[in-house]
Amino acid sequence: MDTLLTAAATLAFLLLFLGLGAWVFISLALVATSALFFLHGMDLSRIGSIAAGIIYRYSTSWELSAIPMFIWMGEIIFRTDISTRLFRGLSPFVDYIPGRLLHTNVLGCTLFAAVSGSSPATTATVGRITTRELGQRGYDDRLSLGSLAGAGSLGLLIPPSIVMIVYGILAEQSISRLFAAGVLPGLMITALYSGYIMLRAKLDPGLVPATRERRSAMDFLRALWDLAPLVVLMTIVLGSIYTGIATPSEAAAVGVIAAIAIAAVTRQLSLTLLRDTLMGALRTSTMVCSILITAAFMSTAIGYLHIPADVADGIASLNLPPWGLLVVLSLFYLGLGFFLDGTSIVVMSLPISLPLALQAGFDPIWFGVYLVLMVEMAQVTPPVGFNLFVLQGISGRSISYVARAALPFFVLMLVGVALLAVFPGIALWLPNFFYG
Amino acid sequence: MTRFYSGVFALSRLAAVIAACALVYMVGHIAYEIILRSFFATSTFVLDEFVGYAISICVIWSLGYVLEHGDLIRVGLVLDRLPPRAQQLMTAGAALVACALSAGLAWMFWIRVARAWSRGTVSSSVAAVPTWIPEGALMLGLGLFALAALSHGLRHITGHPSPAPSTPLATPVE
Amino acid sequence: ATWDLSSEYPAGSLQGQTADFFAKAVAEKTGGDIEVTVHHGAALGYKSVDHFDAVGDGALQAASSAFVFWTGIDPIFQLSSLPFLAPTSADVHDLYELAKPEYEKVLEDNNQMLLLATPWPSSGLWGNKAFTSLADLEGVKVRTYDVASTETIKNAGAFPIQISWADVPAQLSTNAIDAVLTSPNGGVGVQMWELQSNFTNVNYASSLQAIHLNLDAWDDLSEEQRAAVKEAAEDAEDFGWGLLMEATAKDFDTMRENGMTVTEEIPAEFSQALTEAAQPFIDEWIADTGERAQSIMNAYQSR
Ligand code: NA
Ligand code: NA
Repeated sequence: MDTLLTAAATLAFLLLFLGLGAWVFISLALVATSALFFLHGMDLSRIGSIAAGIIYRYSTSWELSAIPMFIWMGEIIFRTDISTRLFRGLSPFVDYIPGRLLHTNVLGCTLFAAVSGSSPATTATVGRITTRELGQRGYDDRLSLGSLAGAGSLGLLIPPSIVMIVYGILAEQSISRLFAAGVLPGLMITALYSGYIMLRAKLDPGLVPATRERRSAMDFLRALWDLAPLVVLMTIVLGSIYTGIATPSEAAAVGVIAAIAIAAVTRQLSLTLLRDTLMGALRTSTMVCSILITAAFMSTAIGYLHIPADVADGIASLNLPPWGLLVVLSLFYLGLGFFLDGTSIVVMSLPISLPLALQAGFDPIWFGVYLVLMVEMAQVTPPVGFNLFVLQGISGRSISYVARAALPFFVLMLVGVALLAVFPGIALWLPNFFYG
Repeated sequence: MTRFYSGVFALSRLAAVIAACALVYMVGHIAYEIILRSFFATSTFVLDEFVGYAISICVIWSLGYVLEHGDLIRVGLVLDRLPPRAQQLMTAGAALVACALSAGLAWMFWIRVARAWSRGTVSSSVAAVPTWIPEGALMLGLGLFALAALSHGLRHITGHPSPAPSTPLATPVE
Repeated sequence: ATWDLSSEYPAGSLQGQTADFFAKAVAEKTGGDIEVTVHHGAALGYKSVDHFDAVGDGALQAASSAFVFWTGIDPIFQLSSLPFLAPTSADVHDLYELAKPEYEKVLEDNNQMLLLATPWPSSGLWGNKAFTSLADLEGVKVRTYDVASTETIKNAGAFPIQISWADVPAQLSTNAIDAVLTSPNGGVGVQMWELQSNFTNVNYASSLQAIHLNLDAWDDLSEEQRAAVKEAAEDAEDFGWGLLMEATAKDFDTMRENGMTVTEEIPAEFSQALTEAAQPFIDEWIADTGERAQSIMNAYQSR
């Protein structure tokens, strides 16, 4: 009971500081400081020492580096004609699909998830490119932002994935197997999202602008030519990973260089372009990374308060049957997801939740995929949801607007979890097929 | 006061240029590493360490610049419902708190820098970089942000306009 | 009192088990007066390299940290990971006993104390063939993890590559690297048999990992509590050293069950060549570390 009170008090601090209008990254640092000071009773010098240690560790971490580089790549696409051509090129092909270009969010994120292991990087890069184009063309803003929030988190489920690597190392499971296990569930979520967009577009034609033109064969050829720059770019980045030339963590740099090369070949490269894209990338990525850094400090504070471990201990003492355990664990992870970021949800709870899951007979690979899905959901739940923050920054909409837009996609992820629980083969079939 | 605000902003902009250079450096170092590994079967052996230093500069040194451009997000739930003057004062309050936090943290980093210096602590890679250098860079970045936040806070009390050019990053739809 | 003990490694790892054993022993021997919460898998956000000052400053009361990450703080911590210096478990223990006063001194100078130290299983070479001569190593791209292993592998005629542990599986499956230098336990943990067919037990080095305690936390204890904590630390240390033997034998079995070929012994000639490849680094280390290093080495050789 004590633990739940501490958790409630931490959440209250969070709502208070965010509500007062402090910048999000400052709010998170304030929550951590207040929680350690008031709830743990630490003195300020110890809190300061913890803060400096964690902030140094996290702000100099290699994992963070992919974010500004991917965002820079996105800026180059955004400020050259690569993005306009992409949408012009896609248009003829999606004319007969209900929802038309709205699917670029979902498919774009799915494709981009195959190079990026992080959710904010996926959301920011794809979102930067698509929100303007879709908005100018008159697509429904809310459906556009919601699908981005939902699909951006696919960066975690579709390999490569940072969270899966962390799970694999901690749970002593094969990372290759985990990566294979994430593919089909990722595609399933993609299908759920696309199906939902089609349904919405069918039911409410006002969400999608009307089409006028009839297209000739020539139009399709021209459209293919328009798609070329982005296809080349993605081929280079994906190719560098799957031939082993670059590690997944290095792919972002390959993406930047390839994008600059394409800009040069298409005669759009200039010093102005470099300066504008760099400063633009800096502005988005500093917003995202500063929040990630102080969120790490807040996670540490929550760890010092023993909240995740104590609650997980409580769940262990309930001695639930497998299905009951799964439901309770899911509620627990949804709750953690309100205020923790991706990786820390996994590291803080795993020493207790993994043995529980294994004892209840769940497959460790399956459990990893399930956990990643829970982490994906945490990306779109307020008050701390990274995809929501990223989209607020990109679109200028308020966080509550973005959160409401993301709600249907959150529900679809829940449906995905339920399907995964009923049909574990969705996760396990591919790794078993590859590795026996 | 105007001179103070534009002076601090000039400083923030200079820091942001350095941060941008750090971003370029990250791309360059990774490209160099890939070339070494693919064609010369060797490595710089310090990739994650040096890219780590660069990313910290990239983020922390650009904070002031990004703040003044209005790109650091906040939740407007309460803020948007207040009269303009109250909004300004709330912003000023938040900025002064940010200044205090950042200055306090810079002080904690000073303790680490002084210790690393006197103990001669280096990184455990081949480069053996004295750790006071990257920690000192972070301390400096936090100090600059504290200054930028102070200026931002005072500016909202005195009602001065932002010294940053108004170039919204967000691409509002409609 | 309640102590937070941070560890970078998974709960199931040897060092994770030792930390849990210590926590339990402390609770038992102090009758529940001292409660140690172990945060496995870097759950608090700290890595081994951060533990040194976090414990010294009292940000953490205790931590379990690998010495290899502390070589930049004081070169003495390099000793246990010097390549091919202590091939048997008895050698590793002798070296530890000889160096213990030095370790204790450095920690005490930084407001903390050494409670116990236990070894990691010795690293070996994972690859798609057995490595039994220098010719086998020629031109092989080996993933290494620190300066000592990088220098030694280079001297042995192979190509050292440093990439993060997280990128290892992807780089192996695309043949961007050919072999990995890590312990049997480290490879079994990520089921490396899916990507590699051979393990060669070259007996690279058994580096140490310590559990260390903040001195202020220690000073706050009563005489009886201190005795109990000391006792718990001794028991946990014995437990950790005991784990080493069993664990390696068990890991070899696991590898074989999964179709791997394990080469438990390498030819004396190859062993000699590897030792020579490591010598320049060791000599340089002694020169850099000074008299205390030389005297430990002298004592070790003349024991
Ligand atoms: Na991914
Ligand atoms: Na959330």
